[in-house]
Amino acid sequence: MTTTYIKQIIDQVNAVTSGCGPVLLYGENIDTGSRIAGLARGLTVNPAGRILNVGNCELTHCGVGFGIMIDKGNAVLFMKQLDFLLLGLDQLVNTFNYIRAYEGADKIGSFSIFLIICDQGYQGPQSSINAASDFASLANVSVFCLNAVSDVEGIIAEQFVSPGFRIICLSQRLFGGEALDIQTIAKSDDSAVYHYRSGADVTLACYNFALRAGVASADHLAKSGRQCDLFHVNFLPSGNFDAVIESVERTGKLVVMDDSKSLNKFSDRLVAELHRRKIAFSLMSAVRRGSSDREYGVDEDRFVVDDEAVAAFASGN
Amino acid sequence: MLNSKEPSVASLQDDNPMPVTMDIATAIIRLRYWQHLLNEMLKQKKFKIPIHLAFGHESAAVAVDRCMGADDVLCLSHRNAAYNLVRSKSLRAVLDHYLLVSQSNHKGFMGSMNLAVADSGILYTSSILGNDLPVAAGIAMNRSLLQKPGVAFVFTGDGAMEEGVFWETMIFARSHKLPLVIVVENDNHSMSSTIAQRRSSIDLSLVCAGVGIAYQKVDGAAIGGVLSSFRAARASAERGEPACIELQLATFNQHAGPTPGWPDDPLRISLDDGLVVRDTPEDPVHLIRQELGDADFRQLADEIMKAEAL
Repeated sequence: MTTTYIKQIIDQVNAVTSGCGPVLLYGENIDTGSRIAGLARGLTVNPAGRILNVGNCELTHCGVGFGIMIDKGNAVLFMKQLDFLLLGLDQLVNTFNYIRAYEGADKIGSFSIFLIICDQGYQGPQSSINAASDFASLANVSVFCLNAVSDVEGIIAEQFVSPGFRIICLSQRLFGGEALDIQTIAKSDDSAVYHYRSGADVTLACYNFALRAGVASADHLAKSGRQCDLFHVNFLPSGNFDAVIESVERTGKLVVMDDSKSLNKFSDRLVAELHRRKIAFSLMSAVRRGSSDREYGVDEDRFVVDDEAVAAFASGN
Repeated sequence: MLNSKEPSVASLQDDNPMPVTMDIATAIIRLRYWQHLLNEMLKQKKFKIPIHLAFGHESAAVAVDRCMGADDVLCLSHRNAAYNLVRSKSLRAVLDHYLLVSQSNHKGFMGSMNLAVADSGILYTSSILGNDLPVAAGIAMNRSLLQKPGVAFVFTGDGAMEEGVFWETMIFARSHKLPLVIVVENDNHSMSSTIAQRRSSIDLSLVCAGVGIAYQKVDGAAIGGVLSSFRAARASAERGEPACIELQLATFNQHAGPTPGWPDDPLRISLDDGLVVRDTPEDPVHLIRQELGDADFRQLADEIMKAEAL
């Protein structure tokens, strides 16, 4: 039986919150109306926890989460959307840096920011920011993007309520769509990398919410008899990306896919590391860097990868 | 469901200032002496880091130290020197951080603006204006959620009052009935700007009344009144009624000793001139000297300086 992307995520959240003990789940409209565009619809918590509707003060919400964390408690801030989080950046940088310098980020309580990236494009200028990676870079914070059933299960189970701080992002574009249920071949211990397909012809590394495009390209390649290594890569500044590097060393061909509009790409770091290790490879970049002026207005936000070009690249043409 | 009633204004009356005991007088004089020693080292350029002393804040620091229960916590701004000194009860403990000798539990050097001496009850300090307010609210929220004892005291200033997060935190604290005491150290300055130089005046009593937070304005130099207001505020917060105390006080040596680019700072503070910085009621140590009398004050000050000399 199939389920939707958002339903699978909420089910997984409830599986964690039903047994995690005291935790504060809070956000604006978390228990009223649309429940944050469906992000918190059906949300439950164990008797020691609490679901709390709060006012419109995002900077304070970020500070409150860190305060709970400092006091050895557990907090999850439900938030829509990425540009709201801009209002809390001061806390992400200053307070989180204080915590990790003082006690170590994973030595006290848990704080997760669980947010929707408003990436359909119909909301206009506010949804021009869709790059979770920028937050990882600004504050040296681990940022996870939920794409497929396996990474949803792993990341929610391991990270949602767990000592330390992280940001977990969902794509609103995917909310009503079917959950992407593809088999995981392997994952890194820190959940930085999920390995979804195995093949010797080319390496596909997908960032942000590009995994579905990666799967489509992988399927297209398979039709022409070519196999790829397919990865979803999370934005972990200190993550373990060895699996991707080893794959590129084997295939000699790397395609990076990233639907975010950030000018600064985490995949640039991968490419730099490959060069540093003197690994010979060819690169195809299927990334967006910024947008045209027209795209900052109201327009469907589509990330389109040219599968024929990927196939040609994999064939060495 | 949140309380949707009109906010009610609770009053924290200061009818009975606490008596000034010899123990409290000693704590204030000792704190002043420690700040003088640090100031002399500042003048000698002994530190690589910026340090924000708090001459004039001694009564506030001693009062909160005396009012905090075993489970209470303190969140502070960058001007946290007096509070770290009084809570650690050790100049050396603070000095070792300023000299970058001591490290945090995680081996980070924290210097001055983010200093929270270990086991002092200080859980957070921040150099960002207003940054400590929501963090303190979060700590208070955790106490409420877990039904753990303890009140969170958070200190801020008349500059941070202008930040949106000040307003946000008051609403958040009141909405969720948090055990939180907000202390505004109003010294009429944000860096070198006076209130009149940078903004319209704010009647904090009306702001608090609008939100429904108990409020009291207190002479921040007079220890008796500060003590009693903190105790009343703590009791209010413990009942789930957050409180706000506005301390009217002066910060002497406004920034960090002689301040570059601040030509209108007329102060010259030197230990050679004695412990009292200003012979007016703005100076907590002047008030202590008045309370004790010159001879007893001099004797007590001499004993403290002899015992605490570096």
